[in-house]
Amino acid sequence: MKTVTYNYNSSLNWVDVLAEATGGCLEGNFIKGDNEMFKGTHFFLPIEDGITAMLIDTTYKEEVLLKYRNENNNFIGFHFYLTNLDIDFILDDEVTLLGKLNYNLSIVDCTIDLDYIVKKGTRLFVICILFDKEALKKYFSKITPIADIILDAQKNTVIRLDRMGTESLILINDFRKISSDSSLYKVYFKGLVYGLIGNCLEQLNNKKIIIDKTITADIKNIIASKTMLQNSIEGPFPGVNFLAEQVAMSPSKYKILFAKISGVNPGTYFYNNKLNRAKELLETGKFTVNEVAHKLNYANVSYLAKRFNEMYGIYPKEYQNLF
Amino acid sequence: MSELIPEFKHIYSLTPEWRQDFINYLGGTIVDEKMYFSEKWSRGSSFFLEILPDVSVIIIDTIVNRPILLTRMASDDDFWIVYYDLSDSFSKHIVEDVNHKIGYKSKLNFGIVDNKIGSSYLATVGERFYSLRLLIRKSYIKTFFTDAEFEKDFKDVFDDKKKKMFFYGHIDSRSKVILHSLKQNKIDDPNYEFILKGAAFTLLGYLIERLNSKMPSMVAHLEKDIEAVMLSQQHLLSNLLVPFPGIELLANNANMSSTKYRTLYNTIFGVSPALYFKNEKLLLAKELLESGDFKFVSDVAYELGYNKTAYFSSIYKDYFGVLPNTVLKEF
Repeated sequence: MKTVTYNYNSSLNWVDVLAEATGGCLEGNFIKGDNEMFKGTHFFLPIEDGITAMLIDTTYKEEVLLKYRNENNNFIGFHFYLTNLDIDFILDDEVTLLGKLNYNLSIVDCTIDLDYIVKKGTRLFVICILFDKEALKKYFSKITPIADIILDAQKNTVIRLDRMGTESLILINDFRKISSDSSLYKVYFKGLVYGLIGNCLEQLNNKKIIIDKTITADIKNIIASKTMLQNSIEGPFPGVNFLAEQVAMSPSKYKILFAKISGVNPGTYFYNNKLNRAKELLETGKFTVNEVAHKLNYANVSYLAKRFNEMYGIYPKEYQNLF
Repeated sequence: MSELIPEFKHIYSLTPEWRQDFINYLGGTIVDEKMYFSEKWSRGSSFFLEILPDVSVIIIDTIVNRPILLTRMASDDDFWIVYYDLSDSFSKHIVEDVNHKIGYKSKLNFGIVDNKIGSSYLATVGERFYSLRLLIRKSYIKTFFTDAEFEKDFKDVFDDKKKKMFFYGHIDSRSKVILHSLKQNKIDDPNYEFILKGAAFTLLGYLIERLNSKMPSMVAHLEKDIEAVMLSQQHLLSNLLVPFPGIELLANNANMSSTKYRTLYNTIFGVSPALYFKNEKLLLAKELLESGDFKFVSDVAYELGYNKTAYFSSIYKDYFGVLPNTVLKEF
């Protein structure tokens, strides 16, 4: 198995190291690589004093061990993962899975040595936001309980694994529509990074999502069931009873767990995603509002229009007209 | 009347200094990026951030307590002010003339103004005023266009001698969604700074995309033609109570052929005049239905020049998702 050692910090002198380690070449803010190990890009951008962000979009052609060893200890990384296959995340010889059905958000102190095992064929899409500890303290001082939430009391270092909220996923998906050639790529990337930080702080502040150190089978089932809901977004809502039965839980347990993980109940989650789908369909310009309503199984245009306006503050027709 | 309304003169700058004038005149306090107004004039707050060396963003969220005329004076700083207005009420200016006939005027909620031209705003008492402004240095905008494009499409726009407000219209859909979600956040939330920065960068991206795709075709037209279309648009919007006058008449008023008028109108406003007119009428209908001044849907329909209440109800429902009758009952 090939090993790549990362060594980075919130200033940018790790970029050359990274380019060398991955065998990629540096072009502007991109490290582009296509070799026997992986194909893809690393995009990095200083956001403001004390905050640097990086976007990793790569497909691995063989199994690789990624090692993170940092010499300086002055920053904390927020990582948002979107992957097609799970990644083994190794911390103190303890293996945790990161990926589609597992954790997809990690907040990690740079002093901690981390290893990831990435399997062959993994498409890795990660957004890393590196905060200077001083900068972070400044912002976190406004949110008092936050230190308690993310600080690992035993080791006195920050480590937290979680799942990102739907808002963050939508932000990332919107961003992925933008071509990396665009002259506005950096502007939109900054917008994305700030949006993610904002959402993440809110999530931490409200303690909306609380998952224990290990993900249990039940939670995995719920996440799988969420994916299933996403895939059947164009049809009618299957109902909590049906969904619970699919994962062998009682409806009430299902509902409680679902709300705990997603912050909303199954129905709201489903209909909000449906509206997002409607918005995306309208953006393509290929469908009339009528057709969208029909395609997404709304009983009538009027109901879609009403819900759409509640969610986005604009009526679907207006949305399409002004696009 | 207008001489009785006090006037407050101020300027904007890319740096936070402009705020002191506000506090001196209106009273209140500045806390970091935030500005809280005193109850004497208005209830609310404001947020100011420099997001790039060349770009700043202002949020104003307030309810004005007594009439005041806000005049932004021209200054020499070389930047654009981009206005996004997301106030609660849609058509706020209801003017009663001598005949006691009520006229309605709808408001354009998006504009780009050169800082070298002054502008005034008469705040409406008792209504929530929610607005975002981007201040963008001109040289920064230039960096997004190649020299050739720039020479062809924007020469006049960046010409310092021609001081003109060259665009106003409606907020585009994607920006409206961003602003709507921003409006759900409170200025005092601890993560507000990040949420606002995220929104501001995204809006900036959308704006430059819009300039890239729409403006060139617009700037290619003669300035006087654009003004004529804007003027006829104003006329159209102040006569929402009558049926659509027809493209021919509008084109005639603007001294151009119907085809040319239609094309130019579409370029500026993104929709056809007839559709635009219909949408504005429906938005006004909503206001009227919610005002409580009308007892029957048919009255509103007649007021707006629809002969058949059923037809009115059906297009209203298509647009808003509820029947006018339901709205009327709720209020």
